[in-house]
Amino acid sequence: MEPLTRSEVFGELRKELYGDKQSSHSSTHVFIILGASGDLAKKKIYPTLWWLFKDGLLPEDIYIVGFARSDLTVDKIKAACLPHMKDTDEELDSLSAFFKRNSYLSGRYDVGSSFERLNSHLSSLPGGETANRLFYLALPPTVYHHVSTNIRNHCMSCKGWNRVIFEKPFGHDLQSSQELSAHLANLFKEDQIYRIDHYLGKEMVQNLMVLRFGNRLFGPIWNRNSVACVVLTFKEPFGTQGRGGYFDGFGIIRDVMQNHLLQMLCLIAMEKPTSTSPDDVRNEKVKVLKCIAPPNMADVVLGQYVGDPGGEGDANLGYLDDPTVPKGSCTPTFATAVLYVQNERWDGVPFILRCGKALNERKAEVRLQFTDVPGDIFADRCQRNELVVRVQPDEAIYLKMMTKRPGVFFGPEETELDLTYKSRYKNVKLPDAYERLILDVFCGNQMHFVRSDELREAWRIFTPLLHQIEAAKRQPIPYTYGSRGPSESDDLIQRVGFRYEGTYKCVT
Amino acid sequence: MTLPLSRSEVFGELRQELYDDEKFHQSDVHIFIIMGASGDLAKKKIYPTLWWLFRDGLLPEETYFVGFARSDLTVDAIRTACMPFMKVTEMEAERLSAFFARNSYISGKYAEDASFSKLNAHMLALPGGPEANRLFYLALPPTVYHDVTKNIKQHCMSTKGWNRVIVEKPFGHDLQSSEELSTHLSSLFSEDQIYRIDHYLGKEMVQNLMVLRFGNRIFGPIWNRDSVACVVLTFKEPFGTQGRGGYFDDFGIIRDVMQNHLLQMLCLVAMEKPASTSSDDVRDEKVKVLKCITPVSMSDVVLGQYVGNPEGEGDAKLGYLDDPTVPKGSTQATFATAVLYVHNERWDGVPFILRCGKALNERKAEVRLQFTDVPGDIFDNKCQRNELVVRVQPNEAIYAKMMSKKPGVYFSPEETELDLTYKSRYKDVKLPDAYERLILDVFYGANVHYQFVCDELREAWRIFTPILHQIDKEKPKPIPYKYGSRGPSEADDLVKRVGFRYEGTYKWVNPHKL
Repeated sequence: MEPLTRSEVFGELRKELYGDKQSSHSSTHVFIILGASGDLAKKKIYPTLWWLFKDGLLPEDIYIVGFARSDLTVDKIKAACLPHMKDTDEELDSLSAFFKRNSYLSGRYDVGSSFERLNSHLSSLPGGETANRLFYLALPPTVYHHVSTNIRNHCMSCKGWNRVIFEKPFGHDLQSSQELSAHLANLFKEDQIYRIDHYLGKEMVQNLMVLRFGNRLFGPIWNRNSVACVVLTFKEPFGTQGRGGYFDGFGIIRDVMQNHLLQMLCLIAMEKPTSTSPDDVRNEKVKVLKCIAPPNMADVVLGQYVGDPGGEGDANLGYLDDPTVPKGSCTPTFATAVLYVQNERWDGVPFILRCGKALNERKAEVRLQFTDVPGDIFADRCQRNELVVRVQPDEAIYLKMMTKRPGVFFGPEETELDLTYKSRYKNVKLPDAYERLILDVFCGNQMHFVRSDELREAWRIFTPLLHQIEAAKRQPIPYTYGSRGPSESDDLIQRVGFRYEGTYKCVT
Repeated sequence: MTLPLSRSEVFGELRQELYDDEKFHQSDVHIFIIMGASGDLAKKKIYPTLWWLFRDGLLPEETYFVGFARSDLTVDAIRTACMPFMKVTEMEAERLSAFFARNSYISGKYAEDASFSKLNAHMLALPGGPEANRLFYLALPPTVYHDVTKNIKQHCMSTKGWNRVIVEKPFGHDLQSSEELSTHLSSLFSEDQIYRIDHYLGKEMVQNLMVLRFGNRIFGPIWNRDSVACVVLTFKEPFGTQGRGGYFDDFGIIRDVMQNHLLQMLCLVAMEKPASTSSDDVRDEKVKVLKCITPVSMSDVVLGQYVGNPEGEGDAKLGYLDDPTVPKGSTQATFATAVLYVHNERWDGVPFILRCGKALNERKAEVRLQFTDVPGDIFDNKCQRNELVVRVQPNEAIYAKMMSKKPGVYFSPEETELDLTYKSRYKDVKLPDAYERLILDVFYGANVHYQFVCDELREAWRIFTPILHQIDKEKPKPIPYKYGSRGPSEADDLVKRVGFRYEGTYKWVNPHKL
């Protein structure tokens, strides 16, 4: 299969996202990065825009405007971004062309006149007056109120469309999140607001819908009659790496569980939507969230990593050794929680969410463990089937199942039906999550972004627990850097029904 | 399971698997008698198989091999005839000698009592002979079954040890002849002494069907008419009758392949879960499901006969009728597709499509379940049907063909597979030949899954006999198809008519470098 040319890909995408409608790709687009001097901008946003530009996936007529308080130039930005841009020698011309379309303005986030100046600049660009405008807030949440108000008051395009992209955190509990949502709803319509959960841009997470709803095989078994439990996992092998101070204000539940893991849970648990249109899909996600009650403290295990005396480098350091972390902080860096979806399809099935930093491996996956085979005839030698979707690293889907032990034997043993993307799709470039998501914003597709009611439900589920943890200053269980986490977590998941035999090793 | 087991480890494990706590009397003497020792099957399959089992220490230590046929042969002559098929390495030369040291040969006539008395005397004279267990393998044309079995019974049965008689297909050529043979055999031997072999049942993937079906929760709810659109059982050979058409012409492809191999696989796919894995319980379920199949009707059958391919090389230029041993103008089918229905609660209305043929485009034997469409489609009709494929040969594999998101910037579905290819996943595992398993099975009397009892056989004949008689009588002209092609297109039409959907969009990609 030959790789498609740039315009072919763009054409196909356009067709996929728009159908027969004429897209507005012939108009001018301006992409404004607020917080252009920050980490996210230089490590993710600028490089992503560059990759999209280079592959011809952005509209022809695109301008990129950076805005921040610092006194910068495009050249300085270029220098800051280059280490993250993975450009090659052949692309130098393209890279120049890219940066020619870039400009930079400095200003204050809380000052209206800065934004008036920004607006004049935008309007002065070729086609600027009628251009479509995307505002990316690569900023700390403390300035969201000001920036969003100022955008609304000074920078909206009157002829083209306007879209505003926000990153998490969206508040820190139900109340603060609702306040922020109310504030944004005053300024923008829902179809102008794009809340990013970058996990929704990952290949395998996007695949969940196709897997579930495009395959007859899974239909009859995707429910409480056949599924014993669902485990959603997110593990990082490194700690807070000197940025613990920032993390300490949030903790692992807000950082990973309430968003990434919960989003994946939605995709696994939801009913089939009426269509693949974004609102139909998001309606189902909200519906399933509404059936989830806040988890009980008894169904939660919290941990905090300590240094590994035998470890090297960072591994020697515990969370509390990070100088930016307040002394005696109880913030968890590890959490396992069990949620239940109280509806007809899932009543009684534990959805186990597990996440943590400084663990033994990097892994994000979704695992459905199925019930035992009823009426066993193999002398209890059959292990449970599992369907595993590995989100990262090394995208794959595999079905762990029993087969006859090959050779002269007759008894069953574990094996897998496997689909490893690196093998099966050798020549396919899997885009970065941000590439997809930013493209989605250009195309006006909100399917992979979080709607306000989704967000409200997600906070409703976790806020009581978070408040309880903070009020009680509950001591997290220590675990060694590089380990699997506290064993109490394994106890919890076994108590609620996950069976771990330890006999199986995935061979791919 | 990464290190290959040592011989005794394998033997020990097997023994445990087959016997559990029962003591296996491996110290007993066993005599394996090959009736028809001079024939093709003996030299190409039986002797080599016995050698491999002997070499790997899978046979009881005290085993002797006695060949019997009409020819005037010696063990050395047999050895010479077998060597090309035995795959002996230099290191094994000594062991090979040990093997042949346990071999002997007797010549005699199949219909003559005296010959069998001689055979018996010879066996008694072997060390431990009088107490030995005896296995009689009839590697013979069916014309001599009556005489040989009668003579075995009258003259050669062990009085102290057990006796087992192994017969190969064909078991008769229709219901009546099969019943006659069964009656004859049961007048001589008890059912647990008779081993009717269908060597397909010894194949790795065919044996795997039971574990796949009954050891996995995920298949439970979908293995029925609600989710399965049709089942296709295929057996294709890429070569013709190769100068042995005369023998084939009496039987035809339906008797050769369909009524036994394919129907056996159908049983394993369609049957209910047995009460246990004991052979009797498994057989009960197979018979039960066979009983629900009505005789196949002519309108659901397509017959073909291969003709030479003018552009082909060597054999491919020759059609079936070009084989000098085939009678002129024979209408015998070398290709058949037939649709069967299992009228029970689980399968009512689901077509079971059996397809087999010689001189086709590839060598392949597989079981394919095609599932129904996804109800309430939301992907613009872009989803193809799921399929679960068990490839019996070549290149054992299981894969589930399904839809996945097209990888990359897209969002739509495309076909892919979840794959288990044995050569990749089980690189170091030796997959034994079907005959190895089956002979081993007879030794241990575990009679797991390689043979079938007379009521299975009777049902299998009941299903096919009416149509075989109709074909024999009316002699319909089979549709010609070219050597090396996919067979007559009428077969594809039939298969589509009854509900198999072929999109042609999918190509299985082996993700591993083999």
